[in-house]
Amino acid sequence: MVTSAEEADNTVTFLLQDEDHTMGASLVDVLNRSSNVVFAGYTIPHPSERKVQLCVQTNGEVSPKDAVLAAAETLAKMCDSTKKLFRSRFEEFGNTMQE
Amino acid sequence: MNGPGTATNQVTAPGEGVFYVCGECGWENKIKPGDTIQCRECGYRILYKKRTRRVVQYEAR
Amino acid sequence: MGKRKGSKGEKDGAPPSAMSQLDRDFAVSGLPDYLEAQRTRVFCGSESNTSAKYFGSAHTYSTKGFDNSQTWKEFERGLDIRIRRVDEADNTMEFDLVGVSPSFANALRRILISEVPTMAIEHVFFLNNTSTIPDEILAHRLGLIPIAADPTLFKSRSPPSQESGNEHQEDDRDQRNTIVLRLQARCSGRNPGGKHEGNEYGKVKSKDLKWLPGGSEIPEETGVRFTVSQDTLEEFERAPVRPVHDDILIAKLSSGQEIELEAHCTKGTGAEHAKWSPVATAWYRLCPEVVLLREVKGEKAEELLAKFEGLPKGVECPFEVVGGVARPREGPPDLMCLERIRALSGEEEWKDYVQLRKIKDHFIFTVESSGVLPPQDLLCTAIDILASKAGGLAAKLAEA
Repeated sequence: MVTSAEEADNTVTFLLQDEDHTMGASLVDVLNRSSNVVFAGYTIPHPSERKVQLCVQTNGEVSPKDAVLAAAETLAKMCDSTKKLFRSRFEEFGNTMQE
Repeated sequence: MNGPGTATNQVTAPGEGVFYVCGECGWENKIKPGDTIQCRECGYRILYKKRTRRVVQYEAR
Repeated sequence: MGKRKGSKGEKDGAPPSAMSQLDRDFAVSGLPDYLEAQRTRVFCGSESNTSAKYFGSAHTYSTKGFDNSQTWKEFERGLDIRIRRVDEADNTMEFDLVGVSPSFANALRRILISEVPTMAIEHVFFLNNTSTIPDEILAHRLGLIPIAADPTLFKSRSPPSQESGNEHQEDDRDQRNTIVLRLQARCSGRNPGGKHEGNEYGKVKSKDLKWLPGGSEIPEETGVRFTVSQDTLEEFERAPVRPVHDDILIAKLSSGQEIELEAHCTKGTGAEHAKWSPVATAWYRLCPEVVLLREVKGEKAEELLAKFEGLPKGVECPFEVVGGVARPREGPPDLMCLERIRALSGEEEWKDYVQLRKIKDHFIFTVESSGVLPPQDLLCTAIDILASKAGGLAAKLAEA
């Protein structure tokens, strides 16, 4: 579940349910790599609860929501690239071991 | 629900006798209500009840 | 790695073959040397480490005209994976993951430990236990035994629904979400009628756990009813369900003692209980690098080599002398000499020459599987889980 609250121009804090540092840190990292993102940070209000507050401020070229959407899609694509590369390198390794 | 006389529970008093294990020699003594508490094999007077036959469930945590 | 707007490429004056890895990075990025070193390297001092922060923002170094942003395509270009070692006997895999951020590497590590599902014993039904080990201790030990069963063939127990309150549905435990194992062991010694002498121990080991593909033999007590036998599935014909190791000691029995129980496995994750974690464990370290800040030649070079005498067998000295000049050996220095290098870099005589560094986006990952699945499969599953988390978030945002 995702909810959001608009604070100021181009600044939105999203509340991600059932998530932790795994997604929080990864999303912030991918967001920060975009030149349209002015600020991105996350916090976990209480360690006993699986909730992540993700705050994003953009320069206006894209909305914070679109920035997070793009970051999530980029992260998914990064995973696919990693898996593909790993698989091919692992196969190569297996072949060299057999020789 | 469970009640007197159902197959899975023995709620009725054990008139038949229950096996108790002697603390000294390990012999299984059948003791009926009114019997002297004493091992028939070695005379030891401390007898232990056997583990229940009911299935006990535990979480492996 | 980032890119300079309109960078030239090669560093003037230096022939390519003489350039170190760092020089090549500098040449491509175009940042001044000292900034590029800070951007990509942790400096390991004898007292503390510096420059450990990961500079992942697009706007860092913007004053230098350096664009630190990264698109997915650029990520893919900078990504590299090298498999170092695969030990099938040990179920361990070591590989290099280069060109990712610490949060990505950490996400994979966290998912490997706590979110990749496996099968493990959850419910233990005791028919008899006259051993000296109490029921709950036995149950706890059984839970920690790794079970070699492909978790993708099973479904998780559905969470308790709202209508039935806190109870699971009573009738949903069947061959799709449960594995039934049976343990029956008895130490025959003298019969209970006579005294036993000496220590006659019967050892109950994990190989005594027998798989019951047909389901529970006491369904009225356990509530588990299989409609189809599990060994009709072809996956199980190839590899029947069994514990990963045969020789795990579960309990010891003296003569006349007996254990008889049924153990039911369900699908779970390490987040709920460590018994479900498929790795024992998974970790990464930053790739170390040793650097000579100034030229070391002649006698001083020999002195440097002498500092690394007495290393354990198989560990190479991190430096070599070629043509009278000392230089770092190709490849990262061995774990066993890192602290020596670090200590050396703090000594008055050597602090301007020797420096230990770590490469910030180069992770040496080790995945030690408990044996339930091969480590390469675990990694791929972990990547899939991260991808599905990201995809799930994207979908929720797109519809909102």
